Amino acid sequence: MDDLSDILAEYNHPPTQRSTPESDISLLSTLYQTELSSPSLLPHPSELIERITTALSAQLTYLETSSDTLAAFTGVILQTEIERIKWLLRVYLRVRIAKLDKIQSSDLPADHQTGLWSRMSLEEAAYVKRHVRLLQAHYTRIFLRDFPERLRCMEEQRVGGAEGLEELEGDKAVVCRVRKDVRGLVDVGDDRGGIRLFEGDLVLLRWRYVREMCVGFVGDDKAVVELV
Amino acid sequence: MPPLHLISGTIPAMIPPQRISIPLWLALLLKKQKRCNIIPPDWMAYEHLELALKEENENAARFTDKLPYRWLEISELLLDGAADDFPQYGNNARRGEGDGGDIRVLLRGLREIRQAKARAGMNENLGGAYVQMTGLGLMEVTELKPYAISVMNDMQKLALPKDTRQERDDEDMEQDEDYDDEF
Repeated sequence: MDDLSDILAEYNHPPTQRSTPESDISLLSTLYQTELSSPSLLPHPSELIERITTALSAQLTYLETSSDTLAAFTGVILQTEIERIKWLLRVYLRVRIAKLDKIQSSDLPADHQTGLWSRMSLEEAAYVKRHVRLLQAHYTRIFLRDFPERLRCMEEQRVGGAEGLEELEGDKAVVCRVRKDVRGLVDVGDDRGGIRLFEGDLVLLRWRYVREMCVGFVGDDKAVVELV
Repeated sequence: MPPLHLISGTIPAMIPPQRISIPLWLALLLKKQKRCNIIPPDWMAYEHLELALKEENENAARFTDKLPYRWLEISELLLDGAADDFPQYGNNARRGEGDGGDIRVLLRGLREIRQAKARAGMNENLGGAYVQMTGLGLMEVTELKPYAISVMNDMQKLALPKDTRQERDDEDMEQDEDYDDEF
C-alpha cells in the first residue's frame, strides 16, 4: 500500500520539479570554476541560468504550498539543496561582476552586438554601461577637466583594439582539465609541434591554445577542456 | 523516508537497511542526523590506500592512478563526518576503535609524498610552454596553481614580446642597408 501511495505521489508531483536534470547544476559548477580561472569573460549562459532560477522558484513554491504534508526533516533537506544552489549562483555571478568591474571603456567595441558585449547578459551590459559612465564622470570631475581638451578623450582604443585585449588574455597561464580524448596533436606553443590530450589530463598552459575548445566558449557537449 | 524531489533530481524512497547511492552532501546531512550509515568508497579501503602509497613511493616520475580526482576533499569530509562508518584495521582494531585513524595516517603519507613530487616536477618544468599535472587531485592543483601561474606569467614578461623583436630586426636590416650604401 505504501508503494502505491509513493507511485501516486510521484505521479501527482508537478513535472517542473524534474525538468532540470542534475547536469544543469554540475554544468553551472563547472562554469563557475572555469569563469574563476579564465582570463577572459566567458559568454553568459542565459538559458542555463534561466532554467536553474525557474527550477529554484518552482521548488520554493512547492516547499511553501506543501509544508503541511512534508515531514520537517524533508523540508530541511529541500531547503539545504536550495541554499546550495543559490550559493553557487551567487558566487558565479560575483565572479562575473568582478570581471565586469575591470572592463574599461576602451575594451568595449562601439557595436553592441560584438566583442565583449556579446558575452554579457542584458543585465550585465546595462551594469557595465552605467559603471563606465560613472567612472567617466568621476574622472572628469577629479582631474580630466584640468587637462587640455585633446587629452580628455577616454575612448582611445587599446593598442590592437579588441584583438589586443584577447592577445593579452591569451598569454596568461591557466590549468585545464581535459574532458575527452583529442585525436592528434594539440598546439600548445612548444617547439615539438604540440602534445596529445587524453581525458582526465591536467595541463598548465597558455590560455590562447585552449580557449576555442573550452567549456563556456563552446557547448557543454563539444567542449574538450574545462579550467581548474 | 518518502522519495525526495530535489531540484537536481528525484531520490527514490529510502528504506533502511537498503543501500542507495545519493549525493555526498545529502549523505553527510543524513549522517549528522543519525539517519544513515555511509559505506566508504572502495578506494578508501585500508588495503587500497596502502597499495597506492606503495606505488607512490616506488615511482618517482608519476602519480598513482589509484586515487580519484577529488580524493583529498572526499576523504576529509568522510573522515570528518562519518569516521565511525569505517571498518577497523590494524592497531585500531586491536584496541577496538573504528575511527578511521589508520586511514588518516595513510592519507597523510600519500599527501606528503605527492606534494613533494609535485613541487619537484613543477620546478623542473616551469620554463617550458606547458606543464603536465596529470594525476594530481583538484585540491592539490589548486594549491600549486597560484605559484605555477605567476611564474609562467612572469616568464612571458621576460621573453621579448613579438612586436618589439620584429621591430629590432627591421632596424638591424635598415642599418645593414645603410652600410651597403657607403660602399
